[in-house]
Amino acid sequence: MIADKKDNIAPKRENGQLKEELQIGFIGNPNSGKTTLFNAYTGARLKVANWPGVTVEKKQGAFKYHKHIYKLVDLPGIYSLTSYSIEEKVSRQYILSDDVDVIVDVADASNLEKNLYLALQLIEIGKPLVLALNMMDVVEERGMEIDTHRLHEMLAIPVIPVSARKKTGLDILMHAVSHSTDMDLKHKRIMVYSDPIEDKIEKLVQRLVAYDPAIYNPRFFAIKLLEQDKEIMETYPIDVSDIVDRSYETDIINEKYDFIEEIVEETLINKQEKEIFTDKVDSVLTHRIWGLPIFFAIMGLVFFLTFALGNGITGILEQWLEGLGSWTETVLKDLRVGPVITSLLVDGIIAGVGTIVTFLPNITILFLALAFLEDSGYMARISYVMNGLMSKVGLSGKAFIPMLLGFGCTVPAIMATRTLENQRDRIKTILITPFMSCSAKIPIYILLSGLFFGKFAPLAALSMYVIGLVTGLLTAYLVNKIEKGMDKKKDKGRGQELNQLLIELPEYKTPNAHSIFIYVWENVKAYLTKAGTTIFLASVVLWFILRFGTGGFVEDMSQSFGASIGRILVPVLGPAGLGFWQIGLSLIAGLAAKEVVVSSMGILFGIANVESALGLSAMQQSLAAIGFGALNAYSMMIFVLFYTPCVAALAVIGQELKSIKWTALVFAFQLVFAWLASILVYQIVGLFI
Amino acid sequence: MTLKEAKNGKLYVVEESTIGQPVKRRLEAMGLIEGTLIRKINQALDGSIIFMVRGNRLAIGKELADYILLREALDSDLERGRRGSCRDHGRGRGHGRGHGHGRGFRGTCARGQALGKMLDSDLSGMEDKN
Amino acid sequence: MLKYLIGVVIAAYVIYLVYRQVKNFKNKNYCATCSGCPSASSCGQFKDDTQS
Repeated sequence: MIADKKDNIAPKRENGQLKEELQIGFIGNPNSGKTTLFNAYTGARLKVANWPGVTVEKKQGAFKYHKHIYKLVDLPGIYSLTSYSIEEKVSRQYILSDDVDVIVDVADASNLEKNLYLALQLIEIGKPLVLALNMMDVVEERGMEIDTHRLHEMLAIPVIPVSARKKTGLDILMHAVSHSTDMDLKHKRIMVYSDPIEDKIEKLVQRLVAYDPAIYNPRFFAIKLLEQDKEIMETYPIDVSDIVDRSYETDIINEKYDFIEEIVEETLINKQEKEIFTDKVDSVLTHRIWGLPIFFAIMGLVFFLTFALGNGITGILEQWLEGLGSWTETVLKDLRVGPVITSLLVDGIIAGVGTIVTFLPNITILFLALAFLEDSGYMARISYVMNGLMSKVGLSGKAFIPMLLGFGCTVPAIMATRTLENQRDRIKTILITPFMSCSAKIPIYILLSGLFFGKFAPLAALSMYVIGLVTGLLTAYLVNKIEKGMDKKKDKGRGQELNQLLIELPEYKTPNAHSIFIYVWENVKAYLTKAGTTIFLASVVLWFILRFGTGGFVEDMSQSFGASIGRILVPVLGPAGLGFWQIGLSLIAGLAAKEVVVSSMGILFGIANVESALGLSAMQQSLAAIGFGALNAYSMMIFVLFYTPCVAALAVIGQELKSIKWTALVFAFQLVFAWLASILVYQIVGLFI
Repeated sequence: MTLKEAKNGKLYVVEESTIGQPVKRRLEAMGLIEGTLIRKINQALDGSIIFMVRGNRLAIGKELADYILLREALDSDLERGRRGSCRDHGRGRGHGRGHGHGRGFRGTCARGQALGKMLDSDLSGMEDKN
Repeated sequence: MLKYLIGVVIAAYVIYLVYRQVKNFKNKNYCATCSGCPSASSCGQFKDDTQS
C-alpha cells in the first residue's frame, strides 16, 4: 500500500496548499482500470453502499498520504456525462457538489480517443481535475508512445501516467492531486467551439448569470442547455428558446471529437500500424464464411490441449500421490496412531484432496489458453462470430460470452448474464450456461475417459463439450419457439433492439506474459484453495459416512452409512447403467462441488484393501470388479454433464433469478434431464454393443 | 444508403442515425455521430457489421445497422476536417503554462495529415471485400 | 496421545471450514474463491480486472 512505501517526494507548496483532508472522486470509462487503481490506494479499507435513492453502487475508501487522510469515492464506470442514465446523473451531481475536492479521471491510455471524450466533459464542468493515464504498460507493449507533455499542454490539466497493475506512478498521481485543489479550470478555454456555437454559449451565459448570479460554472450549464439536457433544463428553467432553437448536441459532440482527433494526432504515436495489423487479422478471424469454423477449431484445440497435454504431467503427480500415501501410512504406523486416524488421513484426506490436485496441470492449461484468447483481443470477436448462430436460436452473440465463461466456472458466468438487458434472454442464458461444463467437471471427464477409452480419451472428453453446446443451443431454440407461440397468442410484438449486438473490438495485441501469468496464477490459487477447503471438508465427511456404519467403524465400506445412502439411488440409476451405490453416492457428493465426484471415487475405489497402493490402477480393478465398464462410464459422463451444478452455482442462480420457485425448477429440470439423457445413451448405445 | 449496402474499406459520412435511446447514446459515446467519417470493415452472413469511427472499432447487429444511413465521403468532407480544427490556431488552445506552444506555430495542421493518411490507405490498401 | 492430537487438529480445521462456508454463504460469497468474477458483480472479494 502507498503509505507503506518509502516516500522520497517531499510535499512542496507551489501553487496549492496541502489540505488536511481531501475528498477525491475516481471516474472513468468502464474497463479503464479505474477500480484497480482505486483498490491500489484503498486496499482492504473499503465501504460499499448505494448512492442515496438509487441502485447504483457507491464505493468509498480512505488512505493515508503524508499524514493526511484522503477519502476516495469510486464513481460508476461511464462513457459520458449526460442525463440519460442513472449512473451518469449520479456522477454528475456528485462532481458538482461540495462533497468532492478533486476529480481523478482514470483513462485507458491504450484507448485514448474514447477516454478523452469523458475527459473533455469533465474539463467543461470545471472542478479541479487530474488525468491519470492508466495502462501505460499496455501502450508500451503495443509499441505506441504518448507525448504526455503535449497532452498536458493541450488539456491544461496534470497528466500523470500510471499503471495500476504494476503499481507505478501512484505517488506522483496523489502528489498532483494534492496540489490541484486550487486549480481554476472554469476560466480556462480548452475546448473551444465554432463561432456560431460560442456566440450562443455567450448569450446563454449572460442569461444564466442573470438568473442565478451565484451559479457555479455558467459556461458548463450553457453548453448543457444548448444540448437540451433535460436535467439542466429543469434546474435552470429559463426561457432560452430563441437561442436554443434546436438541439445542438450532435454539433457539440462532433466538435469535441474533432478536437480529440487533433489531440490524438499530436500525442499518440504509432497508432496507424496497429490498425492495419488488426484489419488484416480480422479479415481472417472474422471472415464471413470461415470465421465460425475457425472459432470452433480454436476452441476444439483449447480443450484438446487441456485433456491431452496435461496428462503427461498428471502421471508424475499421480506417482507422487501414491508415494505420499504409502509414506504417510508407514509413518503413521510407526507412530502407532491407530487404524482410524490412519484411514482418515490416507484413505480420506489424501485420497480425496490428492486426486483433485493431480488434475491441476489440465486446469492450468485450460486457463492458460483462455487467458491467451482474452489478452490477445480475440474474445471480443467471438460474440460477433457466434451472433449468426445465436440469433437463430433466439439469442444475441452477447449471450455467448457468459456461456464461454461457463467453461471456467458457472458462478462468474451467471453473473456475466447481467450484461444482457433483455430479461428473457437472461433467463434463457442462465438456463443453458450450466451445460457448458465448468472446469470442475474436467477431473471427472479425464478420469473416466482415461480409465476406459484409451487413446480415444481426449475425444470422449471433448464430446462432452460438443454435446453440451449443441444441447444448450437446442434448448434455447425450443424455448424460443415456445415463446414465439405464446407471444403470438398474447399479440406481443417485442422489439428486438435491446437484444442487438453492440460490442467494441479492441485492436489485437501480443498477449502480455505478465497479465497472463497473473490470470492463470489466480485461477490456480483458487483451485488449490478450493481443494484445501471445500474438497477437504467433503472428503472428511465422505470418509466418515463410508467408514462408519450401524456397527461403528467398518472395514468393508459396503456396510457403511454412505453405502446405505447410495443404495437408495440404485434402482433409479439402474436403467442408466449407474446402478451402483458407490456411483450414486459420488453423484450426490458432487452437489457440494463437482470435483468431489472424483474425490469420492478416489476414496471408494482407490483402495482394494488397506494394504494396496493408492492410485488409479487400483481404481480400474475395483471398477471392473463391480461391472462398471466403458459404456457405464460414458453414461456417467453424460449424467455429470447435465445434472445440477454445485451448491455455489445454484445459490447464484437463485440470487440472479430472485425466486426460489424458479431455482427449484432449474434444479429439477436439470436433474431429470440428466437422468433421461443418461438412460437414453446407455440403453440405445447398449443395443449396438 | 444503409450501412449494409456500403462497401468494405471505403470512407463514408454518417448521415443519419435513427436508433432509439439509450443505444444511440452508447454509440455516440463510441464515436458514431452524425457527420462523422465512417469506414466499414467487414460484414457477416447474418448481417452483423464491423466498422470504424473516430478510431473506435465496433461490431453491431443487423437490425441496428439498418438504422444507420450513410453517404459517400466527398473531398469536401475531408477538407472540412482538414481545415475545421486548424482554424483555431489563434484561439489559445494548448494553454501551456507560459510555454507559448500555440498550435499555429506548428506548421502543417496535424489533422489534415491524419486525414490524408486515411485517404491514402483507403485508396491503396483496402481492397473491396464484398 | 498422538492420534488424539491429530484427530483434534483435523476436527478443529473442519469446524473452521464449516464456519467459513456458512459465513460466506451469508455474505453472498458463493464461490469462496471467486476466480474472475467479471466487473459489475458484487463478489465481495474484489479482484483486479483481468481485461486490459
